[in-house]
Amino acid sequence: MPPVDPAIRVAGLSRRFGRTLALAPLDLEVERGAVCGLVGPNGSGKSTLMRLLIGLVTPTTGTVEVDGVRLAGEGRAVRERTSYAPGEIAAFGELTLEQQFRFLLRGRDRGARERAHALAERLGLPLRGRLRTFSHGMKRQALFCAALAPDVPVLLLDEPTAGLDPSKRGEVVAILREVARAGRCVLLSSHHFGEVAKCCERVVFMAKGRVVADEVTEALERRARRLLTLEFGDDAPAAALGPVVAALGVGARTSAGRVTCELADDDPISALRRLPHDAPPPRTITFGTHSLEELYRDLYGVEGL
Amino acid sequence: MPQLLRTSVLRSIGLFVLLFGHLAIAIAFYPTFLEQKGALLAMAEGVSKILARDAALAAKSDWGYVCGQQFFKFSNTLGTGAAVMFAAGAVASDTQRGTLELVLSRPVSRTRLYLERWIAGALALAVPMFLVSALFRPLCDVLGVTISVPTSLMLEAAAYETAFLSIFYSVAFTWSVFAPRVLTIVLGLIFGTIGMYALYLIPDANAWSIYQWADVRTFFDMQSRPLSATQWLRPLAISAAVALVGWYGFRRRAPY
Repeated sequence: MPPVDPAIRVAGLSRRFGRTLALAPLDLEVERGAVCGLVGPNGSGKSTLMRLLIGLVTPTTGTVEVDGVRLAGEGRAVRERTSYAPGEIAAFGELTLEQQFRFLLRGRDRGARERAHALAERLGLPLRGRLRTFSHGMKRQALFCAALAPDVPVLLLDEPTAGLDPSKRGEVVAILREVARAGRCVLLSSHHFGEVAKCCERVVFMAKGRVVADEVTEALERRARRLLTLEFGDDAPAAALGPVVAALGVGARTSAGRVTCELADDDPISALRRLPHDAPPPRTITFGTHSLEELYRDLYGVEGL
Repeated sequence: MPQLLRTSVLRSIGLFVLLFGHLAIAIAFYPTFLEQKGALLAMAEGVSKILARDAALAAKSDWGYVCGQQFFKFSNTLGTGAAVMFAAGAVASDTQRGTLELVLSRPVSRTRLYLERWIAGALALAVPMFLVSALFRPLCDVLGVTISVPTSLMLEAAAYETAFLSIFYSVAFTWSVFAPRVLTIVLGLIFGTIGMYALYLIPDANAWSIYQWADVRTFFDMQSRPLSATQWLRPLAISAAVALVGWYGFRRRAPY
């Protein structure tokens, strides 16, 4: 059931760049205080969606509403309610981090700069350091701090952990979990399912400009645990796998000598018993140990995560 | 804003130093010019008809000398360069380094963003022009050279020079909205304007050069009669129209 008064409401939103459909018409609502993850491979439309939400790109069709304010005609009001960290690394090289915060947080609430400084200190970023001396990861963290600092109801974070080392990535995820507890609405895009699962209660999975699935993280993890994969090897004849797919029922699919099926319960034995007696024996059977990446790769045939 | 203001002030100081330095040299050279003007006129005669005409005007009076040296030669050339340099990076520098999204995602209206950048650069261009012109008389006194040109005339010429240079400023600014690289704009306009300036010096072709609107005769005539409304409106209207095209382009890039 869609949220009654969502922080983000998108209706029929699409964007076309020439002949390329960057984002197919999309309806999406994200409730207040929710942390929603956008996951998908490169070119799946995550960044385009973020840019559309903040008014950096004109939609081909559809409308955007943030915190009850329509983007069309009220762009500034939407930006006042939204903070954005772009996916592409950008920095004013000639400025110090402190100066960049001052520049980026212009027009924000009074405490924003102090919060940005505190976040930078927590992540070990030198406030007096010139941004041209910062590494790629440090610049990414600087953008993350600036995006989190304003007291706004909606945060749009485009791949905030990309290019960070594991310890910094962990720290950023920890900060995001704190933000989630504070009740702000966060839309977070990432290639890393694991990270998204750690801090998002809902995951929107995108591929080729379309939303493939939109689910609660817990349900996704449950689905991953119920995924059954039978590995027959690349040389297995497709004709022989047909009866296996048919026996496993609705939702079973085959790809590259592998048959995957999402079971309705936690009992793989009864599913295996349904296999035809003359079916080739699987080389490996996997159940209950799939990651979310594997769930999507196997169910939706999407590579690149 | 502090960043924009700082850049604007630094540019302004840089332009002021160059304009003031040139004015000081021009004033100090004036007695020598008076001694050698016969030879200079003969030399100009041999180069081109236009140059000879402008040299004759420059040699005609104190004001003619100031028009030729400070306004036609130096302010036109250096001012064009400054106008291009100040405007070329207005938007393109952010596009080039990838910071445009950061700038545009702040809660600042597009109109304000565009206008404050336009105004900051325009002030960096205009303020030194006026300031140097205002300091003309004190500078003459300090250097001990008598040149009888009223400050009001200097200020009027500075105002017209600024209006004229605003054409190049607006063109560079508008180009900056569309172009992804600052260097392309700078090189394109610098070469283009050098060509225009050179065209002015070619007899019979000079009517095609925009610099005919700010030649020695135009400034020289200010002494006897004020510039017509057309003369004032022409550069200002072009500049405003080009700036509007830039605004339209900016709104297309940053729709909301």
